[in-house]
Amino acid sequence: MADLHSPISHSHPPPQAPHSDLELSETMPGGLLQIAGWSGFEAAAMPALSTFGLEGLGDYRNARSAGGATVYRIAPDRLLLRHSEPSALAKASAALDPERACSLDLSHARWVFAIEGATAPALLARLLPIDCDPACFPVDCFVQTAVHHVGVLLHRRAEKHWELLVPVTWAQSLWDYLCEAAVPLGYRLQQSSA
Amino acid sequence: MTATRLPTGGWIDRSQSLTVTFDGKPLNAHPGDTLASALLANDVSLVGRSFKYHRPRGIYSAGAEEPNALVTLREGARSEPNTRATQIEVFDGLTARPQNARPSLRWDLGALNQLLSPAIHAGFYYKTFIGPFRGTGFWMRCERFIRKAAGMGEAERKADPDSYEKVNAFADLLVVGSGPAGLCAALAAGRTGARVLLVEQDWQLGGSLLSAPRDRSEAWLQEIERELRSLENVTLLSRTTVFGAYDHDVYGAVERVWDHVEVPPDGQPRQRYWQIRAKQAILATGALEQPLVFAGNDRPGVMLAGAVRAYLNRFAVRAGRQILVATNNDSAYATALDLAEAGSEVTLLDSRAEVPASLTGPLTERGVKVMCAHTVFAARGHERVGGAAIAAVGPDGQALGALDWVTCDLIAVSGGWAPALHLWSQRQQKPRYDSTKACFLPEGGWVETQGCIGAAAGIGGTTAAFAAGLESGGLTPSDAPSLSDAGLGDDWTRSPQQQIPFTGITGRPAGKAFIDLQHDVTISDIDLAEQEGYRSVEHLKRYTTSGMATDQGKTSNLNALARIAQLRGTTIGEAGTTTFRPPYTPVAIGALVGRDCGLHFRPIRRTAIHEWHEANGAVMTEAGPWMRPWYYPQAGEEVTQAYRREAAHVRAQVGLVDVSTLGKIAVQGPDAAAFLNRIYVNGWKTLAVGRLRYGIMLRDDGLVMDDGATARLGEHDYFMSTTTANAAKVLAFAEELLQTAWTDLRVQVTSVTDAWAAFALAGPKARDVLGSLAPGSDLSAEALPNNHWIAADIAGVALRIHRMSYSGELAYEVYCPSGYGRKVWEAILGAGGSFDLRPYGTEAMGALRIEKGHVAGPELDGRTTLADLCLAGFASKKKPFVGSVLKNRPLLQDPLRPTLVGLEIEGERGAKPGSLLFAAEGPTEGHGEGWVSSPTYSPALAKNIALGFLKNGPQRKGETVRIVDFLSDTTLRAKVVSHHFFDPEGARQNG
Repeated sequence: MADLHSPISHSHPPPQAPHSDLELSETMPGGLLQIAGWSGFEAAAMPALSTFGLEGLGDYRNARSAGGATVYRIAPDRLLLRHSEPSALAKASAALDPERACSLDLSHARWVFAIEGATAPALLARLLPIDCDPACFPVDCFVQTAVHHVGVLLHRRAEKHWELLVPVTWAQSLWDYLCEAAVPLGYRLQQSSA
Repeated sequence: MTATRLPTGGWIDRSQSLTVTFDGKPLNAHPGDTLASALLANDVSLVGRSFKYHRPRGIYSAGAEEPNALVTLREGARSEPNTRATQIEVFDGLTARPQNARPSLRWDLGALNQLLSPAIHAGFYYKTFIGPFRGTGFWMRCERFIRKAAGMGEAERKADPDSYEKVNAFADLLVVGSGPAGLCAALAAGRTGARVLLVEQDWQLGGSLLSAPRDRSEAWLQEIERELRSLENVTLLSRTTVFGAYDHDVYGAVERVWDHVEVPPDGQPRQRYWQIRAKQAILATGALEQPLVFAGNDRPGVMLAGAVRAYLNRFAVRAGRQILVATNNDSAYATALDLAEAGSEVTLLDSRAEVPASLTGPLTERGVKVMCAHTVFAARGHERVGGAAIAAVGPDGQALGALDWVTCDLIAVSGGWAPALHLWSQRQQKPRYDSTKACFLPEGGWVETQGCIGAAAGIGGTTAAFAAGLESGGLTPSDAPSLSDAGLGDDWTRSPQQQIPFTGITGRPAGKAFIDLQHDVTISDIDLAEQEGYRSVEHLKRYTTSGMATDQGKTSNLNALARIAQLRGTTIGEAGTTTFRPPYTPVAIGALVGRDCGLHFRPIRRTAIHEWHEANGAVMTEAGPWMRPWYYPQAGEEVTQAYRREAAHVRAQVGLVDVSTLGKIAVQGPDAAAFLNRIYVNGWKTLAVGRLRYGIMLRDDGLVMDDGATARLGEHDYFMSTTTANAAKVLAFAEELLQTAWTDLRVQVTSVTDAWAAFALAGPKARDVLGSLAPGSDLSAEALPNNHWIAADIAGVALRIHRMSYSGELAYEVYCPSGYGRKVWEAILGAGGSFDLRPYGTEAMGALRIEKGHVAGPELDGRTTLADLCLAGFASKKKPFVGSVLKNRPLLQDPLRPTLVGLEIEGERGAKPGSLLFAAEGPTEGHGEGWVSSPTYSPALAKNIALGFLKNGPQRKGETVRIVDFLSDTTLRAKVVSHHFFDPEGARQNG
């Protein structure tokens, strides 16, 4: 399979900030599969989740991970299943009963901005009206919100590691916005993995 | 007024000297000074001219309430008008200039307005300029001049070189104000572990404590601040003004991050706009001292007594030598005492008849002359006070005898205190007037998550405020370092006299007595409004403009109400009060905008091929949020030449256009076909896998909403495309229907616009190009006729090829995963080299579709029906669909409705969209018989053509009509033809 082309063609030059611990990077999301259904969705989706050992759909604020996959419950009848290896999601798709649920590959529809460092909440405070205090937003919490009017999904993957899943067609614009917002804080750019 | 800097005292840093420039003159200052204190220290009495009468004005206050000392800061692109000198933190090189004065501050031509003052009272321009002549023409002409004369300062037109940012903050408790109450409230809450945000508009914590002698509170302040800063859960924000309180416990604040330097450091914002969400808010916003109203109370050298004390104790500036202190409450006694101790000659006039010896005693011991039941009735002087008329005063504010003129260079006034209830009132109801404390109090509020403490709650006295702050967090005074009171008469709530203007024996002031200093509203303006029947204070406010300037009536509202009450013979409480609205102090637009300007005014949407387009010289154009290649110019080409060349090339050879911006929606589920059947006018139940179909959808009201092709990818999977412009609207419409009206359908719709890149390959050689790329795919007309699709592989990428045509040529649309879009695009172009394949832009794409007679956005404008678009035949008669009932409304069935036609335009000139159509002969009146929607030059026909809508269009083919563009005053002639200009049989696209 061909290499994925990053939607980020250029980055705002980072300022000289030797003491900043803020690191920004952009990367592909890996595989991203939407599973959606109708009445009885939870039961209908479980066969797909079970393929990774996931024992439930989770709630609307906390991501669950197992078997290399992470599930985000994004609506009563929708979830996103993410895996670093896109082809790994095929088995989840195949496990669904098409009369009860459907799957949709969105791997090319999103891009990931990773924000790393103790200063990350300060940058996020400049982007979205979400309380990133650990008491309100612990590790593995996620929200669907908006940055600069564009719908995004924010996931705290670790204490100092945050990820924004953004629509690829808006990615460059949001990346520019994010980097500019980070200038007063200082940051370093990490190499894209795409 | 003879102000001087004292050799010792204050909170300024005498170890450093700074130079600031005001009105072109250099002044000496120290860190810790405000611009106002620096001006006073250099004995600058005249700092501005008033709004209407251009009267000379000096510094009046020491804080946010300043009505007079408005200056323009800095020069050039960084200049900022209407800043309050009383809040400007000095720095070396600071430049400021006065406003509202031409040619100079001292010699201001506008001062001639004072001669006209009897004629330019409240509402004069309405009375004078509206009505003399019939119609509004005269007023509209006069208004231009009135508008020029109005306003303070001038906005800079150059782009601001500095940046601003927005930040969101969350707190368990927001404390606004860092006086004794605010500091203690923050400390008490901070000790509990709550997340506390303490916001102070000054750069220094302390609030009212800073106005008292430094040794009274310095140690206490240091200790409290040290503890607060040691608490990780407490955030201190200085130089930050909370300007608005909004629903859901949201507060707006602006931090002047780098306003105290000439140029902010690289990358740092000048100001920061905070959106604060707090579970609770404590407003420790203090109280604002009110003026006394008497003739000439606006003269430079008339100042608020509390401000005079602040300049003395905080900035070590003695604002006068021979000082008259006039008051109606206890607080000014401390000012008088401190001034006397600083060596001034002080006389204190208290309009109250009885004052306890505990107040007067310390003053008389210091040689201050104290006169009870006396006050000031007039100030004398022009650019600075030179004397005052004093006399005994009765309870009605009238002099009881002849006025006695005394010499003085400063009149320090205190007309009582008004708790700063702006933030409280913005969220709650109107405050209640307390006649005992002579002020409005925050009582009867219904928002439990917000409250006032300290002076803002009408609590007088430093120690009481200290205790209230601690109690708000469950502490007692013994839990914190002790704090002594701030001086003599510390409790301003003890027996103040109610506000009342001071007039002569006649009941009239002996000159202009100002209620609102900033808007030049005098007692006589209030009297006039009352006389003319303005009963509501809200109406009276707007008629007189009292309280409507940048200071929002901080020093005028109470006195205006007092005058109204006096005239009506009621109480201030019965007179009512106006509504406080944000912002508390003016906020720079730049701070509110933050980074959402310039390139980030709105986010931009790019296709996967965007980078390639730019690298290959495309001129990009906006299409909603998208950037699309408009055309690819060759040397010397403008758009006109380029698109004609590109369109002609597609007809003759083959072209490739990026159509990734088309809306793309996955429609999935066992009932997907039923869903499509309902949302589209045509039928879908028979569409087989591997086929696609053009569809049209209507709005509920029967008008056309959108069109596009939908492919059936699998048993339960459909791939819908929409126009670029309507993608979001169609998705939202579908979602709404599925979640409300059609809950019986097992269908999910999901936008996949981001997931797929799409390219249209069009032209006689399109099949050859694709065939060379996907040799394993049978692209023949038999195997892949129009409205079919196949899966294919190009450059190792699994994708779909849809056979469909927008241009009227043999054409295919290639849909590939967007992450591989660039690779596939380049592969197609690479393979197409031997077929003379060239990219083309949206302008050529538009020309091609107009030649073919395909409708697009200009035709689907929300006003047209299926019949108008000559698409009525698409509508199924066998099934209901959205809009199927209302499309039959009589109005929409009118056979004379403008209907889609083609127009062949005579001559070399093309039509403008929106031009109106008129019969060849006859009057050119009204809205005509139709309009032009999409004009272009047709390379295929070698003439200018257009799509348009013409009344009874189908019956008028062959007729000549006029195309009138009223904007450019041009008229063209055109022949009405079929809108299928090119290849109407479809031989090319079906070949």
